[in-house]
Amino acid sequence: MGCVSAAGVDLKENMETLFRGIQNTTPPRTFSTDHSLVYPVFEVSPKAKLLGQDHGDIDDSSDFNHIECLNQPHISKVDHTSTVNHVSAHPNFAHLNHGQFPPITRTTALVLRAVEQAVNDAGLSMDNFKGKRVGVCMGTTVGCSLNSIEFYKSFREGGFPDILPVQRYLESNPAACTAERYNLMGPVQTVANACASGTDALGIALSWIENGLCDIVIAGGGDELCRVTYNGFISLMITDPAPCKPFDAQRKGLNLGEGAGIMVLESPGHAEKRSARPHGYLCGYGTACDAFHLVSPDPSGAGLEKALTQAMYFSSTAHSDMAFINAHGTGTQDNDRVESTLMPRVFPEVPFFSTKGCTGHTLGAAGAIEAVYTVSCLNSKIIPASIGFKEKDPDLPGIPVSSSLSIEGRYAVSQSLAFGGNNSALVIAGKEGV
Amino acid sequence: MNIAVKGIGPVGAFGHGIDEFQKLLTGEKQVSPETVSVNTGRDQVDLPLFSASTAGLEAFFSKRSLRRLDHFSAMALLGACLSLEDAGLEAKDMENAGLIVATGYGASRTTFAFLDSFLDNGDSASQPTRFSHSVHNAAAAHISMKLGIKGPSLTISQFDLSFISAMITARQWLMEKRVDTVLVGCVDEYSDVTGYAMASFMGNCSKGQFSQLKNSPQNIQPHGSNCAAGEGACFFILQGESAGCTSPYGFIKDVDIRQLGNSGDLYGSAGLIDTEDDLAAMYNLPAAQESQSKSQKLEKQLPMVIMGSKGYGACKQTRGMYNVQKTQKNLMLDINKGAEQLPLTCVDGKCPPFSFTHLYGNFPAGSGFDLTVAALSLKQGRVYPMDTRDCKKCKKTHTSLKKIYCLKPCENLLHGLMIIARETLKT
Repeated sequence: MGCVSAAGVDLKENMETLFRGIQNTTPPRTFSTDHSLVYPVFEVSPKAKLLGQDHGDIDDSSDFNHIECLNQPHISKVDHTSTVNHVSAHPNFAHLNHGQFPPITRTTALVLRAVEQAVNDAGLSMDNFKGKRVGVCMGTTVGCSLNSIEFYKSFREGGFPDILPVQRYLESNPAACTAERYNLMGPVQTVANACASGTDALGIALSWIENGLCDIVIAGGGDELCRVTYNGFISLMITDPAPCKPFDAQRKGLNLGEGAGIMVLESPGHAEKRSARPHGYLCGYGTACDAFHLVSPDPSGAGLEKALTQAMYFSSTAHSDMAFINAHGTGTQDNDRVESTLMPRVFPEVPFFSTKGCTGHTLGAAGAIEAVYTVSCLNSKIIPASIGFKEKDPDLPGIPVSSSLSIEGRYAVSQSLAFGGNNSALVIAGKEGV
Repeated sequence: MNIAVKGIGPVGAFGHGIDEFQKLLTGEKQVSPETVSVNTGRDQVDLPLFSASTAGLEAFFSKRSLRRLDHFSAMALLGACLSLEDAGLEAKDMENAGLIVATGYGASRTTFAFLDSFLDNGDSASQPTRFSHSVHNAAAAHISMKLGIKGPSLTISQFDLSFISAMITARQWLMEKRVDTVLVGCVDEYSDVTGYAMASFMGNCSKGQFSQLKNSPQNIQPHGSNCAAGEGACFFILQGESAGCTSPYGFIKDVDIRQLGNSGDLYGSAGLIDTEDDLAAMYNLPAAQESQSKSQKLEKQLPMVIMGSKGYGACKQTRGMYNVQKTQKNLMLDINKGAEQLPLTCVDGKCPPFSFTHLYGNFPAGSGFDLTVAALSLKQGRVYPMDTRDCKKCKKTHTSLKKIYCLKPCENLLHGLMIIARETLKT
């Protein structure tokens, strides 16, 4: 498994931050904005040393303090376009453009960092992939959007902007880049299912393995912070101007984050052949649409319940088998209400929590990062407090865990809700197996 | 598992619906592209554009209920409705169906309109409606809401391979019996920015060529030195094959995306097209093969391939063009050699493979239209002529046509293939 987020540059650091309950927010530093209020974000540290990303201008020690920020409109900012430079001369990319190193987007740089971690963690290398059906399935939102602001600004002003940003976009598809990077011979798919993309990508990868389409699938999701989504979520009035508080009475919305979560999924036969020791198992995937509203979930939670039922059906598990639920828990009024209402009803007595208080909402990466966390928690037999939660909302039936909790049981659920009314859920087992 | 194609709903410059599309293929209906003048700073490019109308949507929904729908989602919704109609289904039949939308660029006009909102008046003036309609899965959301589809809903964005990638997952869902029916389709819209990008990419290598174009279909060569921009949507109703299952259009036999490498074979055990049987089964020819001439044998051996050609032609500098060289039995795809030269035979060893891009334009979702041509060819038992081809054999009727390959080569080393065949499961 591999994981990069504001909570850490690898999985170990992520889990440490999670259990310490740290909300490491900052003002946006990879793009400029002229909002009068500066909404905090969860940005990946320059320590991640992302391929092709130059963070020389950013002072990583400038931890964000919300109270100060409200009174300090002139926060040091760096234009987004200046931070997305050409990939440095990395030998692994030599084949991509006949010796001319192409630029890649920050989203793909995040994905490739997490993929590298996951492949190493799995004890695999390019040699292991030769002659195998190795697929790639990635979730993203920003990573598949043609929205270079500087390019478009010049274009609409009648300029003749260099086509490089478009070329970078075309050549930075996260799934295709991963396939090229490792010379993989299987199917590729980039899932653009808004905030459920990461969960869906893992679910589709599971299907590819189960149906014999692939021996191995590198799957997960990634997304970068950018001005477009930052403005978009603020315009929808679902962004908290303070560090987010999922399920809390005082919650005012989400904070955006960035990162990538990756799993290397292997067929049981292939894993057995090379005597691999799995961290865990994807056991079942369910997904259903609300058909209710473009950006709001169905308050009844019917779609989410259907997805959960389906995931349990395909994994041959029951509600009572679940050790915990890793909720979507964005901190928005609508999302948290649906989940909080449904959890006690579908999974009575099963603890649930959100990790977005520690990572922010990483959009297309969220479901994948949270699935990685879920495996980790199952194996360590402890779940973290729902970060940002302090005060119970009297209108919400369910209460998330407010302190670290030891758990028992082999299975857990990681679930995502998304724009478009998408609901997706994974039933996951730890290394103890199914 | 074979997948039955139950209904098709195409939307494009030709109009909408499978009947109109067929008229386009037979030549009964001629559509000339409009001209968009694009200044790239280097060239003044007259870009031919096949733009789509969504006026037909009002036959399905009230004008009032469509007022917030952008062009991107409207094309997709119209395609979805038409495919249901063609399959003889109603919205009530679709509650538990799966929905997959494939798109290369998403709602690009709305995306840039959202950027306009904050570039014009500052970040705090960003328009929420434009943002929510600009997300890639907005079209899927509108379709699910309008048709009441509450099964799995997915949007896939893999540029030129978006549709074929979507077909892979549609097939998986049917195989694992997650759903009984999948509504799968592709949609892409033209925007000024994508037009500028297209003209700029082409202008780099074919300076002046666009400006010399006369905008008639005859001047847009399927494998020539120019191409047209396009937009549209094309949706399909798919169901898993069961005993006695019939389909007017045939059955999807296989869908695959693979990285072939720099000199990968299309044919053979390591290639996309697996066996000689597959190739031979293309035509239902008489048994007396031994007595046939060499050209007749070749006719039996080679499949009908519909190539998802971009029509860039012999542009030596454009990255990602294809040089396909045919050997006796192997078709070698050699990437990055510069030219889209396709000496693959159709039926007599002289013509390039079929391509119909010149009829609907070049855009990522175009693979859906290629599959529609294949499906209609099987349904009608005929090979539709390519206007600019100098091959009489291509224009003859092939009532024995059994199987068609839709091949989509791409800029990187990945290639997509869909195989559609006419035969049904033997009961």
